[in-house]
Amino acid sequence: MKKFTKALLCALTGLTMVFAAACGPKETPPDPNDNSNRVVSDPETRPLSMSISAFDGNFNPFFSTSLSDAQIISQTQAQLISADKDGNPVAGEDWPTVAQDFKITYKNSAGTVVSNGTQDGTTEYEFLIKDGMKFSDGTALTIKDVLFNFYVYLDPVYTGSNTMYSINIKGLSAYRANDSTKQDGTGSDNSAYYAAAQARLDNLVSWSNGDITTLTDEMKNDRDRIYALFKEELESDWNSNESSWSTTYKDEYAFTAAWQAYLLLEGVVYDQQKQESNGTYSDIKDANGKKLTTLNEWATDAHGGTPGTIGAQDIIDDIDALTTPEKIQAKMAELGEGATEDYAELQITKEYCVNRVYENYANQSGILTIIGGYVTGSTALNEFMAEERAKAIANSSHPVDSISGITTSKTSNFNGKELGKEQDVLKVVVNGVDPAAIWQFGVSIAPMSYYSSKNYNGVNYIDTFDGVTKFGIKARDPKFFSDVLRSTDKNGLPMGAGPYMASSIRGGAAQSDNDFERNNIIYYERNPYFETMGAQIDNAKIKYLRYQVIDEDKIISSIADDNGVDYGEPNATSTNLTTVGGNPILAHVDYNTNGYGYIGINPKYVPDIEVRRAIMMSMDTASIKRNYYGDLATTIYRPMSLTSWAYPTGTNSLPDELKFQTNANTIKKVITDAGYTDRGDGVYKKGDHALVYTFTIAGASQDHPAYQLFMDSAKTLNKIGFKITVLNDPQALKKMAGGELAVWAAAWSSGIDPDMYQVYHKDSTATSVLNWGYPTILNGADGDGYEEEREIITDLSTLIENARKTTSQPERASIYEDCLDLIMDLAVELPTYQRHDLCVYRGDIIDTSTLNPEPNDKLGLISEIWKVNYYLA
Amino acid sequence: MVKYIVKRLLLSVFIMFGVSFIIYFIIRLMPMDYIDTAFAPQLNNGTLKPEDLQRIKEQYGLADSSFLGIINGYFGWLGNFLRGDMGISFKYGDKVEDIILENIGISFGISFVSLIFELIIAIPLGVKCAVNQYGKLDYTATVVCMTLTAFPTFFLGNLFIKWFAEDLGWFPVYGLQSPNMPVTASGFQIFGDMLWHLVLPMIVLVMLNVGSYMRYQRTNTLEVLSADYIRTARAKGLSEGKVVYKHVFRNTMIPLVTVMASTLPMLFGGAMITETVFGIPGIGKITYDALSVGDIPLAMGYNMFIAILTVIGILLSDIMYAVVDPRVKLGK
Repeated sequence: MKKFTKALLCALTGLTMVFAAACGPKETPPDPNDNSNRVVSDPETRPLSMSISAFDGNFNPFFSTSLSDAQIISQTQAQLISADKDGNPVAGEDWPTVAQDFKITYKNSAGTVVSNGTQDGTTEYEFLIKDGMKFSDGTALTIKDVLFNFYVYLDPVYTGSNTMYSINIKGLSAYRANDSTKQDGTGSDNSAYYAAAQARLDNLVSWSNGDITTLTDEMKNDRDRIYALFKEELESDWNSNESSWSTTYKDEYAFTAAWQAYLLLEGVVYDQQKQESNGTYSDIKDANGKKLTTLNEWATDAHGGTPGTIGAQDIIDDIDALTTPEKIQAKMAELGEGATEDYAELQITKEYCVNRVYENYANQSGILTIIGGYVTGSTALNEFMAEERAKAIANSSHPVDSISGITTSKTSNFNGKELGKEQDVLKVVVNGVDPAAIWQFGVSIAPMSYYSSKNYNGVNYIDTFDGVTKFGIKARDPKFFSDVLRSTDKNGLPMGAGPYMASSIRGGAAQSDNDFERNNIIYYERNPYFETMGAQIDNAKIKYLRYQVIDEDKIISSIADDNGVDYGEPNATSTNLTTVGGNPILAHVDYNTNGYGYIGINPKYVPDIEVRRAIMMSMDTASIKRNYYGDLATTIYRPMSLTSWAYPTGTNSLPDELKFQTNANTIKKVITDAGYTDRGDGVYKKGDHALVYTFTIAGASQDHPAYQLFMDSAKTLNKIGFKITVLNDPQALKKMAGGELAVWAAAWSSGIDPDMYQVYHKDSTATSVLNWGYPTILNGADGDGYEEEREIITDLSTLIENARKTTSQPERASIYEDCLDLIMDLAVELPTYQRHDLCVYRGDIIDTSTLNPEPNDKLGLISEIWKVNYYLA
Repeated sequence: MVKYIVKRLLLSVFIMFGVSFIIYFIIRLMPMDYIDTAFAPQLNNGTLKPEDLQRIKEQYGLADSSFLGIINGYFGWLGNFLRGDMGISFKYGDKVEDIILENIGISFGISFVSLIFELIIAIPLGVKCAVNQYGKLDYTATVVCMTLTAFPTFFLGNLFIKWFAEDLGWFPVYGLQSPNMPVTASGFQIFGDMLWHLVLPMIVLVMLNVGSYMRYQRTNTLEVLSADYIRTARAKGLSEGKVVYKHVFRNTMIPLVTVMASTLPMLFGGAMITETVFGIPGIGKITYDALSVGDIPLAMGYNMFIAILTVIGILLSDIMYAVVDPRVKLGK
């Protein structure tokens, strides 16, 4: 007993000492102004290490998709042009760009040089390529590599995320279609393929009508594919109905299960109706005021109609019998001993319902309804179009070997300056004016000698490069792209002309991807040829660079750890800022991030513009800064990044009709003035439309800057006639891409150019316009309630087109100011906040004077990594 | 015995087929596929069009999500798998077998070494507790072990990081290697650095798992202690030490050895939460990340690997039972 007690007491004492040491007061931190606390480090031996988020390991400059991968690749790459801190394109001897200089020339339709571009003219981009550049393996970087990169990005089978192909380059349409008769600007114009695909659908329609009696093998194949897509659509309808029927139908219908709502959705059951004395029809409701449904399309009493066309009589009876719990019980009583408690479950399952609808239409007469009445029709059309396009490209009778708008030449005089020798010039001719195009050309220039092949199926694609018909790739060949350009050994080991090259834990050039990335650490060594990128460019000061994957919540403690990293970018939160501020060996900088948060409202689900305005009036956007970000965010009042030159200066409030209202009655007046009345249960409606909406937060967590804003708004709105549900949805991103959300909180990441075409123009094919309800609005007609929206969108689109006709920043800024006001009028996007980025680093190790003194979202703190150095002896 | 093993192996083929079928279907039925996840932001802001996405899906074999399409996809995968080709990971762009081989070593190493320490602590402690049943040691050890077993991994892990890494600075905060190891470091120094990074995660694993082995050993020992032949051994006049450590201990090893055999798949499975908390690049964390984005090749390859190990582990467990206990006959 004594021995045991002694042992226990010793153990407890030891533990207490340990925890006391851990939890007790720390030593007084050293004075940050005291130079004696600086740690002198040798830049030739001590690696500079930085934190990074988890990467995918796809370090291929053509095909990487994640931000972390792109960040890792960027240390090894040099771009054609770069951007300065104000977002202007730059090139030159003091920038590590492949271009030494560039110029933009506008010509009108007659070919005369003009000062501002015109849509019927052209814009010529000329890039003077530097001489004497080398990649990190010592091979020369020439215009051949530039052309090789362009032809990779512009190839029709390229599947990466770069979208250079969306620029209207002269001759690009013909090249991508491999058809010299193709007109410019048709891009991925599918009119011919559309016609061919439509013809295939028309054949099946004709078969359905009996005009075609025998199907060919190809038609049978098309038919079977449509049946398969139809089945998929019915199953998808089931899945989405299952999660939403209780909010969509439960208030109005006497449904007790999802399958009942599904059968209504698919047109198997109908609203039960009766004819009134005045000849109109009204819904039949049960004692609780809920609508009833029936298989009969017409009310049997009034019309004596025949039963619906689904299945045999007994099945019809079964379904009809099972629409309410009472009828289920009655059916079970009728079956007597044959009934089981699971009778309803056994009969009415997803498979049963889906198959019932499927069997009704998956036949010769029903296929007409599938093609015309279901989404399957347009899905099949898209698939057939893709097939027609692939066939046409492969079998072209007018092949095209090069893009006529991309040419090279030599010059000894560029932009009025004598060069003293001949240098290569790359020229790209774009039809019309596209102010954002210059940024699409600012791609990394990766080496052809590394990414192409000297022996692919016996062909040497590198040495046969001639810049006329051969550009280092096998054009339009997916196998070449997968086997050569993105072979697995290259995916893990990037090569380029950037400040650093892929290395290993022991230094030197990496021999394999296992050297480059090991145990979640990326190893670089200084590129000895980086100084060839410009007369004023020097090789990196610090010889070794490393990235380590560190979880967000460990970044700051890892930087504070002498065996951890030296630099990181944790989330800019008050907690992190407090932690960093309390540790004097840590230095930090914060600045506005590149993007902003917003609340979106989709007119497809919230059709009344006054209701959308009312919802916005209930949202206190300033609360996000107040409650979540503190000083690390800024409230914004227009849907544009504050860091953009086009953000309207002096704008410090929302438009009056959208300003936050503390008095709920003011908001209520807006909806009552719009004609909404109480339907009897406190929820207001106008016609068939009730004010029942879901506010969606993307992700599974409630730790979201807009969560509290949504909860407060829901609380206010639910008191004045709305029924708002706030939901987390991990699938929100996908639903946004399909325009399936009514009200949601999200954030954009902005590009350098504020061009709004993709996001707001009426002809945009980006899925973002689905979120603004454009298809519903623009395909409508007078009397549908969207007249005001149509007018706004038309005016907005005109302004966006005008802004693309000039490259004058002041002119464009003025136009975009008007655009932003129209977007606010449309009441589809409520800007909320712009948060900051936070950079934390070891202030006692890294020499602050070697960092970017004015970091922003365009040029970060360590954007010129080659200049960063330690404190030296 | 041989017949029994052959029969079990043949049965395993059907089990593997069923397991692979189920896993493939579950992954393909996930609401978002890899392409949807990876390209959703570009689709939304217009840098990619829906037909571009469809084109990319065709390249990845994800274009056809109908029932037939999934069946086709499954048999396509099965055909390649039987030829030894597990495919290329969508997320990491590398061969699946390479990813597994590269990352399984560290997971196995941590699990194996932790298991050794767990057994070194649990076995003698379990025997001691059983011999001193209801004594102070028994109660204390049981309470401590059960408490540790009840702790969630992430809680204990983060607590240890806070105390021993951040506050005391005895161990590194995160990762498997110090990022600022000099290039001149020797192989021994690099290995030592890795071991230093693994101390905390292994302590956590040992503390969380030792309780269950201790209780298992205690129960086995108590069972054997009450056996007639142990009473006979004592009656013969043997010392208590000899009775416990020669007669009792040996017989408690029988069930323990069989349990060890069935832990084989767990050693390779990776401790996902521990790896995540401590930033260890093991197979558990990598596969979890791949699963959450619908990386079918890696998810299928890894799960099949674990399924095969599980089948082998259970078979080994049955065989070991027959080996260590001559009373057990297999196949009858």
